[in-house]
Amino acid sequence: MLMGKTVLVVDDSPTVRKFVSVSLEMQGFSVTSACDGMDALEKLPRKRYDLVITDLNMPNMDGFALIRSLRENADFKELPVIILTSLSDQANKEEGTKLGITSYVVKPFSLEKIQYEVSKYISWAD
Amino acid sequence: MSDDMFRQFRDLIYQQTGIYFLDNKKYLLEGRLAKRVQVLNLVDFDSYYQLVKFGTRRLEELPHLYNAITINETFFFRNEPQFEAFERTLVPQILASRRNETQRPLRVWSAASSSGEEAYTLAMIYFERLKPLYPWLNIEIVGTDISHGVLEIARQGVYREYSVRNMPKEYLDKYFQRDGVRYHLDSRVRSVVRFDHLNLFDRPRMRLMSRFDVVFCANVLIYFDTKSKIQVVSDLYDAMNPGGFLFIGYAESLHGISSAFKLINFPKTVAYKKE
Repeated sequence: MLMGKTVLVVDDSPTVRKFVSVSLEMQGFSVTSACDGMDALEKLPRKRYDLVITDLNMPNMDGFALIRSLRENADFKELPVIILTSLSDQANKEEGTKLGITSYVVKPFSLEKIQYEVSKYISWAD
Repeated sequence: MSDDMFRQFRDLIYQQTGIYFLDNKKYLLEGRLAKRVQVLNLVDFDSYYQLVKFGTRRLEELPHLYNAITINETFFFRNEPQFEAFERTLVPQILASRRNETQRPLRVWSAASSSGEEAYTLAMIYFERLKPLYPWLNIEIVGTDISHGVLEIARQGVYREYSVRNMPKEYLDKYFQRDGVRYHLDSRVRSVVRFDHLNLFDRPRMRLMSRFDVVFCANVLIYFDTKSKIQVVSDLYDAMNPGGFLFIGYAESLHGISSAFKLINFPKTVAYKKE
């Protein structure tokens, strides 16, 4: 069941946060959003998340710094992360791969695209 | 090292780690940094300063700097009164307060784990003393340290005579395999402990530390000045479950640092309770 699966969406753009949240809520996910990496670090320990979707360029703490923090913490090391960004260069993709992200989605993106990427990592069955 | 150079290093280290070297600790800092200067084949302290402050390889060198300035000496079953209080009073109290949530693992954090002796001592106490009383109880022990070097040793779980000198013989026989001068820790004990790199002064990363029932943070606060102590202790507090306990070192106190905890007295030690 997707019901009860939780996703944290991290983006400094309220429009993107809203769009991703609505796309996933339509499918039965419970979505929380954060406006940058710092805000995400504050929210993550408060409940159990199944997936994080994060932008890269953000004030205070960017997406890579956020993912690095997660990877160095035993409780969040394995948490699936999808990068959702307008940066499409190879260097960033490679950095993402090095940090063990599950996918790299380049903006602009469609509702179906984000739903598909999320569904790959959160199965309907369990 | 000139006094001026000392102050520059001191400020840099303070900004990065919150650790403050008093004037009378100059010889200590000098001795420790001298080793890095030598290893890197540098001509003097100033070139080392340039490297860690502005160098293109500064991010690679900073962990070595942290290793050099933090003391990593520890051994198994150090601070025995704390372990006794943990086993006999704190764990029973925590479990009693949980009522129906018996599934939830007991989470313990060795906040400046060094090479892992404290974290593994707790793991052995779990297998030896807690598991027989509470067969359903699971435990998660997390060890963190600012020094990458000691974490490597911790993960390997291989120790020398010095580390095991204070350990009761029955533990040594049961949980270690001796191989010449080395003692290899049992893999079952290692399996309940994880080690992560963490600078206690790094606020964003401290936010990810959460839901701990007991935190051991001995002989760490001595490195920090009052302002940094307040920050670190407040972050430790946030990382704990209500009803959880914090241990600090014998010579340390939270007086003037935090009034959020309730002081609990035990024979030869004290614990701080988050209510």
